Amino acid sequence: MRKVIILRYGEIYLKGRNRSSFENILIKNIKNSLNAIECKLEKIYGRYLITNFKENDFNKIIDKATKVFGLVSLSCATEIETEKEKIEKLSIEYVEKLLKENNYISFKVVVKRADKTFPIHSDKFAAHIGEVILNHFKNLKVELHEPDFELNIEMRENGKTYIFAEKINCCGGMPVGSAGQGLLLLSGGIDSPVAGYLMAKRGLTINALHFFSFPYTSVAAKEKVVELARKLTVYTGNIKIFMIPFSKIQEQIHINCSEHYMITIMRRIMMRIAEKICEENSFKGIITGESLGQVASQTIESITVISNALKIIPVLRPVIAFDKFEIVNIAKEINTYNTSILPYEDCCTAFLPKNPVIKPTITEAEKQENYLKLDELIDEAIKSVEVIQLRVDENEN
Amino acid sequence: MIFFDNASTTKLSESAVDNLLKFSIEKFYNPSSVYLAGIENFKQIESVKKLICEKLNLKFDNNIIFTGSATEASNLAINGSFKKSFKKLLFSKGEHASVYSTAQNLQANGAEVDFINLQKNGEIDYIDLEKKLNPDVNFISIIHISNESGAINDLKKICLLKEKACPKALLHIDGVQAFGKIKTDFSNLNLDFYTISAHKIHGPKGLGILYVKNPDRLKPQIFGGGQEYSLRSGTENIASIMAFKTVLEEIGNSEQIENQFKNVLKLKQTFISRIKELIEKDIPISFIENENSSPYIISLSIPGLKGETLLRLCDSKGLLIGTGSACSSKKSGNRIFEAMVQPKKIIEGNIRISFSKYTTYDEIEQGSKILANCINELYFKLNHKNKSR
Repeated sequence: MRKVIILRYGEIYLKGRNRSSFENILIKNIKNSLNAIECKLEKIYGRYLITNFKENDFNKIIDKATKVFGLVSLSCATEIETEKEKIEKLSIEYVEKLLKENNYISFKVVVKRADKTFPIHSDKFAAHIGEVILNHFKNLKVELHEPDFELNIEMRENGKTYIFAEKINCCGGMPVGSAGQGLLLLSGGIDSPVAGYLMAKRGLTINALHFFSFPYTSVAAKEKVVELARKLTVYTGNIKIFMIPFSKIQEQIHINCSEHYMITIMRRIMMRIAEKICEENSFKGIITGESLGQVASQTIESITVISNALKIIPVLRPVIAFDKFEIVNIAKEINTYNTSILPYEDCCTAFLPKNPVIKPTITEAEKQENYLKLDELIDEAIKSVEVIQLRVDENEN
Repeated sequence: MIFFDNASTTKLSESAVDNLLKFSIEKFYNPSSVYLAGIENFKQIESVKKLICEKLNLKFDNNIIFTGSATEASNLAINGSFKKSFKKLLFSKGEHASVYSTAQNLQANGAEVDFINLQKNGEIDYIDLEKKLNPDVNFISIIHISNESGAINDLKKICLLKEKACPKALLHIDGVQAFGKIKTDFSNLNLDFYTISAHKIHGPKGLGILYVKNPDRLKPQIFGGGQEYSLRSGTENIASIMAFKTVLEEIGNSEQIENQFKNVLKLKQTFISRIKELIEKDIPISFIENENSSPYIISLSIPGLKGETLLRLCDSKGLLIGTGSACSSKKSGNRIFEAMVQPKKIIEGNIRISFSKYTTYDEIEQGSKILANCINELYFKLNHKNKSR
């Protein structure tokens, strides 16, 4: 008999011949997230087990495992040999313990018999265990629809049975890395970390790109972005941040282009730099926190003109249809909100024009860009990149 | 690295280190202890208090209280004096946050608090003060030298107006930017409280001083072992107090202070004329000063630049300066400059350069060059526009 944590995965279960490659990524991610904790990861059919952990680390493991994308739920279970008498005995012990801690009156027994060598059918065995429990605890009653607790008994193919009462939801999604690598434009605001989180949930490995404008923005603003990325690593795993100095480009736009087009041109150049970094690093998509209509640069016209600067790489905008409060809710859930609202300027506010164009055109944007030595500026910026590698285990207090 | 932010803090006087060590390692005894070594330390503290009184030209009469900071000293003066029966308290709009926030707190708790306007040069508006003074006023707090603009308030004038309108009102002066830098002869002024900070004049951090005319009427804000005449409990910071003694000795007499005032004034004038020479002709620059402001502080603005940006650029070139106005995107503006009715561009573009008695002409030369270069560079980038487009 031993204590284990059962991990269940969702969508990848449906994958056909590719399933094992998805599973391998998921296992790697689970191990990576539990890196700092002493425990073992075992594989049984359709499930993973965390074993050999210290009682003290239990909450830490739950906290980390619930944040691994690809897992849908987990349960803290007791594992025994699949033998009728042992199951009966443990069921009673298990319920006894539950009743000590809770004021439960009604219950239900759910049996899953994946191990078909066990002779009694699921429903029959569930009824039997129910009876055993009723005989032992006179005050309890069976309630099939809304019971106070569910006693789950799962007989698995490995000859073991797992007894547990609770299922804890995990984040779901796809294992990070199963969809390749993406580049997140991380500004320091509320939206972009949420966008990164959502795309990581669909399996993208997250790299981040930040544009900073010293001396127009402070070192603290840059540190804030690193802190945001660090908070994201809890979900996304290791993150590589590309820091690009942007003041010279902003100054040149300011000097040479129409004030109304300042932000449009800035965004187009950011996209070009992002695409170059993607090409150089085999990243497959650019992720932004744009939400339709939120600001002047996020109207459908602006998005069109800004996307037009790209050649091939797609822009993924997971929060495009989200209201601000919906984004804020996710930001709070993933613990990035409090960092995002720290009042440092980002590189956009430093050169904020009074009246940015709301419906820019590609023709005008291209005309404005002709006043700049575009390639030279972009190459120079990329050459001055500073790369910061953040690792998950750096989060340990 | 050139440090021109001496209004925020100063480097510890090197000769003060001896005492700091000696009274930390060798004579570390608790001044409240009964054995001789403790009593000796207690006496030492008294000698420092006497020295402070000498600098203020006031008689020592158990009227100097050491605190953990000047903020704490001002808080003690205000909150320790406050009574529910107070009808009105007056504060200048140019007070440092340690006084201003305390005033706001009293106001939020129902006290009748009013604020005195400032003139454009940063001094208080004496006409407004006269208007607001009446027999109902119980407490007045005014800063001696503004930490933002460097303006020196005329304490003589303030005392005269006060004596005429409400002789019984308590008067607190925040002398953090003044003590040790300008003459502080208060023998003919009827001050009730004067706040001093050690680290603004090359003393150690973590040491504030409050002069109190009538300690009997003050209520403690921190309770405990009864140190500092039971007005501020907590073991005396003997090492810092003794380090501050060295600083006080170095300040010298009022004649020496006046000489130093003149020396620093020359430094200031040199700096200002160098800046005017070195910046491009078409760059607007405005100095917030009059003949009556502190030589230790220069407040200047370049309309069209942001003070914070300029500060960061100077930082990267090895010049440390200050900005009072935190113009982050969320919180723009500055309470004190707004009270001086300065235009938004002046407020946003403001920086503060502050000297110490150790500032050299070499630093003035180098510092003015760095600052002027940074101003020229930024101003060109932000205000140049290719007009044909």
